[in-house]
Amino acid sequence: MERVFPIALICAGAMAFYTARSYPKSMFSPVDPGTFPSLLAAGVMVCGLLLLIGTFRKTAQPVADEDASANMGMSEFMTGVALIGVLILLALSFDVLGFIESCGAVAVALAYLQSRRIIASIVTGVLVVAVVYVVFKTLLAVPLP
Amino acid sequence: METLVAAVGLVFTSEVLLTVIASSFLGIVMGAIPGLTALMALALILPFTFYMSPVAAAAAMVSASAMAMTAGDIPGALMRVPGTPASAAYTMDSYTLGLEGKAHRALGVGIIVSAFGGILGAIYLMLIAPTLAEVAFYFSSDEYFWLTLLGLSCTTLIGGGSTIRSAIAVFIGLGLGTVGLSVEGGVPRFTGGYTELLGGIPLIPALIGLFAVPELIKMARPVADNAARIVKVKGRLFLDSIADVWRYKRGILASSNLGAVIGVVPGAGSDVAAWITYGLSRRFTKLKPETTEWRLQGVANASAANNAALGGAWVPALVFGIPGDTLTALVISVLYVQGIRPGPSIFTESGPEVFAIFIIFILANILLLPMAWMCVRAMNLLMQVPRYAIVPMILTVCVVGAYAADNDSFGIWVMVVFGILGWILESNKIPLGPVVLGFILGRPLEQYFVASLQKYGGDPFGLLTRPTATALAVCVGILWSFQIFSLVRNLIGTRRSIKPQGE
Repeated sequence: MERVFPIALICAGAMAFYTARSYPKSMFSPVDPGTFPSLLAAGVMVCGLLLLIGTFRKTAQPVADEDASANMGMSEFMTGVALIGVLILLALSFDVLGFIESCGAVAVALAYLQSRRIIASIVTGVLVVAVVYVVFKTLLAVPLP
Repeated sequence: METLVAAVGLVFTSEVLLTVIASSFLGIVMGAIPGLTALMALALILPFTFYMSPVAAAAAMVSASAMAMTAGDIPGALMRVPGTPASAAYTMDSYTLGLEGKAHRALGVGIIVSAFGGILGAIYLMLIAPTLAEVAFYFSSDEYFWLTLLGLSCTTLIGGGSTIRSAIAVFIGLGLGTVGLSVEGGVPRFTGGYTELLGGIPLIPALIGLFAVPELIKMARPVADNAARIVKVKGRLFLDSIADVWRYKRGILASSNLGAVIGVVPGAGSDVAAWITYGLSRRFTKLKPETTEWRLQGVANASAANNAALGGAWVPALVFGIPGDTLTALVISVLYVQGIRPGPSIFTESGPEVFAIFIIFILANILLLPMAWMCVRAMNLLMQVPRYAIVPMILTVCVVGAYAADNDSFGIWVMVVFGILGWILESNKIPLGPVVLGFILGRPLEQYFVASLQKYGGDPFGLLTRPTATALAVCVGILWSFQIFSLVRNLIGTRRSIKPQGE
């Protein structure tokens, strides 16, 4: 599992390198638009490769560099997936439903995710959205949808 | 003198003073709640700064960061939970003092010396920044290129932790900075067809996503009971601590100076300052270990250094536009939004505003004493705030901040994408600070690179023709050689036990 990230990094670097090389050459400048991104993509690939090599050398690894095992607990992973999912739903619904409805639903969902108490979560969600709405829309005149 | 008078006029307005008080309150509350850092406090204040004057916006950032940095000591002493990474250096000492019924002395010393260190850092900023700006006027794109590269190299070397991972973070940040129209020729790069990205990735939503979302994921786990047990503070916070501060005056002065100097080094910041000064105070102390005096000395030295570093970190940020740490990276983004362009000409273009920032630094550190006193007294009350109410509040403010940057829901998408990126990177132990530094410095670095190469007809060795540029290049070379040597030594399988550096 710990080798997935370095491999993904190398692939992303290779894609960025290929894309950067495809940009048109500059006629008037010695530096092309793709030169700088190509250098960075090459740097990402080299570092990804070093990281990958590090995962194969697990014998004498007291060095912080290479003890790279991703140490994420299952509960944090599930919380992360849930929160990201909620955020994507919020981004999708923000323009359609408006601030109060979309953020209100998200606030209630997040409060419930932590407290597992329905009434407390609803009260929290309503209060949070009301406070933020009054501060930003009314006092600071942010044109919230 | 006229500039100073104008600066005083800018500071002592109701808007700025109210902003200082409000952001100090927010900063101290955020710092005192375990899990909420100074960075989170600044990320939360960002959306509000759009609607402030430039001086008020800077005042909000300065006050909140100074307060949160000091307030981070409070949960450390009372609950053994460091409020900020910097306060982790001496958490065990202050908590042990708390268990012995001396929490008031640990906190009192910490708060007084933090205020002192903060003011000394501000004085450093006032003295060094204008002088350095005069020197920086003679810099061309060559020097700026090497200086920016030096800052980024320092970030990977000094920041602690893994060199490879810090380098990956810097490369990713620099790569994100290339999104948008190219410096040369105006070719759209990595935009995916989105016209919103032609001007580059929106900075504020990206920063909010990168810092706030991973923190929220950590905080959003179900909690059974958040009313943690805390050590009670008995005794007089400041009156009982003055004698301690006087006893360690030499160490405090030396640590404050060292902290301010460390802060000036790009990429170092408060955390590094606290750990280094703590280590030095332990190395050179003449006191008997594990005694009350020994513990207080460690707390005093490191507390003074981390607040002093805050001011120092503003020096490269203001003079060269190179953030000294992650906090100043956020500050730079706010200054750009407010129309203040960091660089050597900042003192001529925005002199009164810059001197106003210096005054606010001192003001905020004076205000630190009563605010921290109130916070310590209200700590029990603060711990009663249910955590399930904090996460939705922070997330809602973040969403509004990402939207309000351009009044466009595209900002929310940027926040979500960068939140996912930040989460993936943090889960794989890639530090986020260097990503931000790379992201902010990516475009200027390319501009200097292109300008210099054009000047020398594409010959990269032209970058080494000016003496100052060559000296800076040598520094970069030394840093890189050191890092490459260390990497090669690890890769060829040296089996010597090497103690990992503090994360």
